[in-house]
Amino acid sequence: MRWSDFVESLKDFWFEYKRQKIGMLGLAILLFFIGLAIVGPRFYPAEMSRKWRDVTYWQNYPRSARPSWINYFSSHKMPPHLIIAEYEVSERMIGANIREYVATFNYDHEYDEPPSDLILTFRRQVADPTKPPTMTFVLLRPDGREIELISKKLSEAGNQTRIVITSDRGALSTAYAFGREFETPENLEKVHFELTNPALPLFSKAQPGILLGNEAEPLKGTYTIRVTFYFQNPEDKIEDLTLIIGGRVYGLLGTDENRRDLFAGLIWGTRVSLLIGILTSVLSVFFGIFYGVMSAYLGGWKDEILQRIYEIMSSIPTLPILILLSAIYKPSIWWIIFFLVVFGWMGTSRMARSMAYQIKEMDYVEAARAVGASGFWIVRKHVMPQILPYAFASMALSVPSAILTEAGLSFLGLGDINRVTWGQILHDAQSTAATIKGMWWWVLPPGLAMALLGLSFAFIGAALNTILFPKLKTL
Amino acid sequence: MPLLEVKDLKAYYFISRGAVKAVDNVSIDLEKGESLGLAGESGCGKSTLGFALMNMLPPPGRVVAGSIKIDGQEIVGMKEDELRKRIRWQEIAMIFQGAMNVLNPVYTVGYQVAEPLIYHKGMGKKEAIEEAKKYLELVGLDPNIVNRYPHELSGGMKQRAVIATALIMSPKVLIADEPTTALDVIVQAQIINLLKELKRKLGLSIIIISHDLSVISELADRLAIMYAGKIVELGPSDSVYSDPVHPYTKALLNAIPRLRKKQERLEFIPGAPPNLLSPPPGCRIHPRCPYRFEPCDKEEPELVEVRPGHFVACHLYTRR
Amino acid sequence: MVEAKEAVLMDSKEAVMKVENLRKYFMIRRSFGEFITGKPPRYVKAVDGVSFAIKPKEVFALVGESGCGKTTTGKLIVKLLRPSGGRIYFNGTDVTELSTEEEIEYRKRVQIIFQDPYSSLDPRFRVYDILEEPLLITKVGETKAERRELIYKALEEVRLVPQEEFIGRFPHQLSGGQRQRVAIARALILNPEFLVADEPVSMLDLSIRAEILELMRELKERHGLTYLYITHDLSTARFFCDRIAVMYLGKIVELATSDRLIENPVHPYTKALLIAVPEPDPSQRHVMKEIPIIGEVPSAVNIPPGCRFHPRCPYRFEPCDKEEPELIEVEPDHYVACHLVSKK
Ligand SMILES: Nc1ncnc2c1ncn2[C@@H]1O[C@H](COP(=O)(O)OP(=O)(O)OP(=O)(O)O)[C@@H](O)[C@H]1O
Ligand SMILES: Nc1ncnc2c1ncn2[C@@H]1O[C@H](COP(=O)(O)OP(=O)(O)OP(=O)(O)O)[C@@H](O)[C@H]1O
Ligand code: SF4
Ligand SMILES: [Mg+2]
Ligand SMILES: [Mg+2]
Repeated sequence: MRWSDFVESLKDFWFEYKRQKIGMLGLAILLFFIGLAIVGPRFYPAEMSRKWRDVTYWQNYPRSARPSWINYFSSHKMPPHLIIAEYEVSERMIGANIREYVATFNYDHEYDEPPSDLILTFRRQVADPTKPPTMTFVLLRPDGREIELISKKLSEAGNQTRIVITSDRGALSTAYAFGREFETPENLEKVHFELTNPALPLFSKAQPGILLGNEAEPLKGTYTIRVTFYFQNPEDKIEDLTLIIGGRVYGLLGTDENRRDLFAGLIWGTRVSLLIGILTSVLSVFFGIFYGVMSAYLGGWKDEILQRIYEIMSSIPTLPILILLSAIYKPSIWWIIFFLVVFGWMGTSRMARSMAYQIKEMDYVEAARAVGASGFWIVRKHVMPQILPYAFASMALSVPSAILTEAGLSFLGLGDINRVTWGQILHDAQSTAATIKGMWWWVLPPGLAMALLGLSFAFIGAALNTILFPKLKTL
Repeated sequence: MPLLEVKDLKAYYFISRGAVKAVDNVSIDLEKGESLGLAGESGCGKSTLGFALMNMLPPPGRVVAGSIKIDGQEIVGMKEDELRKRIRWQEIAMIFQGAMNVLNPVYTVGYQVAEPLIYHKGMGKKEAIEEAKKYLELVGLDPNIVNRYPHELSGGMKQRAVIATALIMSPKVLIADEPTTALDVIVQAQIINLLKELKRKLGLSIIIISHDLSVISELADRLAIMYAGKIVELGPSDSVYSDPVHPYTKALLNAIPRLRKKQERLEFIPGAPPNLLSPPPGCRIHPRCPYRFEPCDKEEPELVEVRPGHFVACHLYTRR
Repeated sequence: MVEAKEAVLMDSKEAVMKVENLRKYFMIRRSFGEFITGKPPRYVKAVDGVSFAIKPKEVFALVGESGCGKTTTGKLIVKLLRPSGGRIYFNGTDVTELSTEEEIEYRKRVQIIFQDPYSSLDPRFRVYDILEEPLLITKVGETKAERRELIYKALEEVRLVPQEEFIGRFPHQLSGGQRQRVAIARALILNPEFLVADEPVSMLDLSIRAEILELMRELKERHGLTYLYITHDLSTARFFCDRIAVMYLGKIVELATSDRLIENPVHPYTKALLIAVPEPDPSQRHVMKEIPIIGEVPSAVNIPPGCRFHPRCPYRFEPCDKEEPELIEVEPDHYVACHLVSKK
């Protein structure tokens, strides 16, 4: 085939493809995912994928936050996730060698739910560990009430400090005690100290119901958070002081229970799924064609042997074997692709073999052999040009199954542990019973993405089939 | 009144690029017990005419105009239901081109021969197969082959079974589309003999379609020559074979290699048949005709009677 | 017996193509069960001892019903199949065992034209590429310009002119007759001496058939070609061929010049074939044809013993189902394998 003929036939092909509505839809979906896989990582660093299982990496994200956009659809506004690193500082000396360092944060709370977390992180430099600094954390509410939640000596080793106020027992009892004052006795019957979310009384109006999640009224306005350090040594200091107001909504797709950004997971999962799907199908189709054409071309007992191997391979139940292999070897994504190819070439090889056999019997092949054409010549000039178009169709059609098989392995917890995949997201959702907890934003996106990507290839494959197969009849 | 009367029949295939005028203004008639041969080059519309007479043109084909009367009954425009109940297979039946190669490999021969009875008459399967045995015998097959499968039969046997299927509802008219093509000479002669015998025994009227004028001459009382959807010559066999009038018919007959006659050279018709999407204007043969003259590429010649019952459509006879 | 074979091959010295006792058995694939139980393999004896010699510039016909082994014989000659036995001589040299170089040379000089003009041209090749293929394979025509010249010449030979109009077309843009002419051009482009034409016109319309036969005849005159013309149609054989061999179930049963074979057939099978051929003569339409033989050709797997035609033969007698008749010369250049001439 000449280059100009090739270009010509590509043009013809595109002309026909354009008229396949379903194929165009499939292509559009596929392009969307490809776009996502290309553009996404610019905003979401690769670390996110590698450290998907590293809990500390995600600790400053909100836990179980919903997607931010739900605020547009509801009058019940949820607080977003805020990381505040701006604060006012005032310093003074108290007595001879105690220095007071006050950082004041402002937070406008205009939401119908309290934040999920209050987290303070900073780095301290302490010259003499035997004289640790002391710290207090005070919340000043818009109604003028002032609550000291934390007051402690910073005597732990290390200099990176992370204080989760909302999980601190002292803070909890303070907040509870604060709420109690305004609560009616009946209501007090209903609440349990242990189960109270400390953020609730802190961010609710001081009136009965303050301790009850469903009755508390949000206290909107500007809150001031005053963090005070008392240093005993002139060299002591605090750096990178940050206040995290844990949101109840986050990003495009929210977070899961381990605080991981689900959109980042989806994007990196898209890359993995596309990689697995396309690489697996391309490799298995090429190998299948090679095998099938060889089988047909060699013929005789060689064909016979190759066919027996083919039959053995096709009678192996792929999924159980894959599960077994994955459980034993904990394979990386490359090994998974390898396994999928090893168990995935048979369909194409069958098609290729029967087509090659058919073509081999054609008189034009006999005519070429009559002037002494080699087998290689016949395969290259007559067999391959006819099989390749079908190869593309079957590639498209075999992508979804590769994607689903990998997802299946990941879902069983057997995937590559160094990468996030859709299947793993679903696996985690499953193991923490996300569906029961109503965390749809955790389950639906990867599920839908998988279905859509699979569908897009199926659509493309179907369109290729309708274009290519009638051609066979007319030629 | 003729048994079958076709007037100005037009049957076109409507495809994206236009209408394929496969049968264009064809008029023929057929008496009881008569056989008519229909000959012409591949693609000239012979099978299409056969399908149109059965009123079962495969889509995108449609009868566009004209009338087909069987026994005085108009069947163009008849409801599909009624056609199936009263006409198709019962008044007029067809042996399809290549039918022996498309017998269903998973059904027994008996079932396939009996199928019209089951399907159209609602006869029970057992009874229908009993009936099928009679017809298998009629076409010279052992009735016991009802339980055999098509792949167990030879080509000639399959063709006989196909003929039995066409006859099983005792139609008055049988259309045989290329009934002997792809059969070996001896088997071909046997099948021709069978058709001759059936014609005599059952008083069948037969339309035999073939591109092989030798095969047609063995059966046809009258002969119609078709070219590009039109009939160009129609007349009694004796008259057409011995003294053809149309230049195309003459050329066709001279192109036949003869077994019992030493020929120095064969005549042939240069060029290829036209595309029926846009047939040439005037006489459709004119680009290939050595005798063409002034009106040929403009006016379409009408069929005129040049001898009793012998019609020809050629300006040589209408304009000179 | 030896004598008879010699007789057929009498002119072997001057023969362009001579085959001697040529055989081709195809093994029928055994099922796994049959293989395990050690059932002996069965064979289709497609060609079972065929001998003939074709003189220079002769057109030799091989006629017979479907499945009698005509195509197989043709393919054996052009070495598309390897014979199970027997010899093939081309201009006196045995070509059954050839070195690679000799084989390349042989393939250039012996070509084949196939029956089906639809499957003999690759639908993805343009006419130019179809004709260039044999040149590329055999490395004839070193430069592009040389090859182009050869292609143009071949197209002119088969009267596909002006060539520019055809070289760019795909097979589906050609009529049946034009396709067959491209196939002939492909066979001619290497300038062969000997052509096997396997039913070259049987798929073509009557009007085109005559044109192709005339073309083949003209090419024969111009290039001094020798043909093996394979057909099931005795009428075209008579028109086109000098001698006709009638095959039945893998064997030649009668061989004579065309005129003698048709005017004076001797073998019961030849007689039956000739009677069965229809003629464009409507006067016979009311009478049944008397076909002297019954039934159809049996399968080549179970070849009847003795004379392989005996189950269908109306004249069979005592030795017919036991002894196989040999080809006997009944008159000069007319050979028949039938006990009616050898035993009576
Ligand atoms: N389904 C179809 N759609 C479009 N065109 C068709 C269809 N079937 C037949 N034709 C065209 O109609 C014309 C007549 O076809 P038809 O089969 O009647 O020819 P025919 O004379 O029976 O030929 P043959 O001898 O090859 O059987 C041809 O040109 C063919 O290409
Ligand atoms: N490759 C093959 N494998 C097995 N059997 C074969 C093969 N090729 C041909 N045969 C068988 O050999 C016999 C002769 O076949 P061949 O094609 O030579 O017949 P033919 O005379 O050319 O018939 P036709 O007129 O149908 O072309 C047939 O019975 C056929 O089934
Ligand atoms: S040898 Fe016998 S059976 Fe064979 S053809 Fe002659 S007479 Fe008939
Ligand atoms: Mg037809
Ligand atoms: Mg053959």
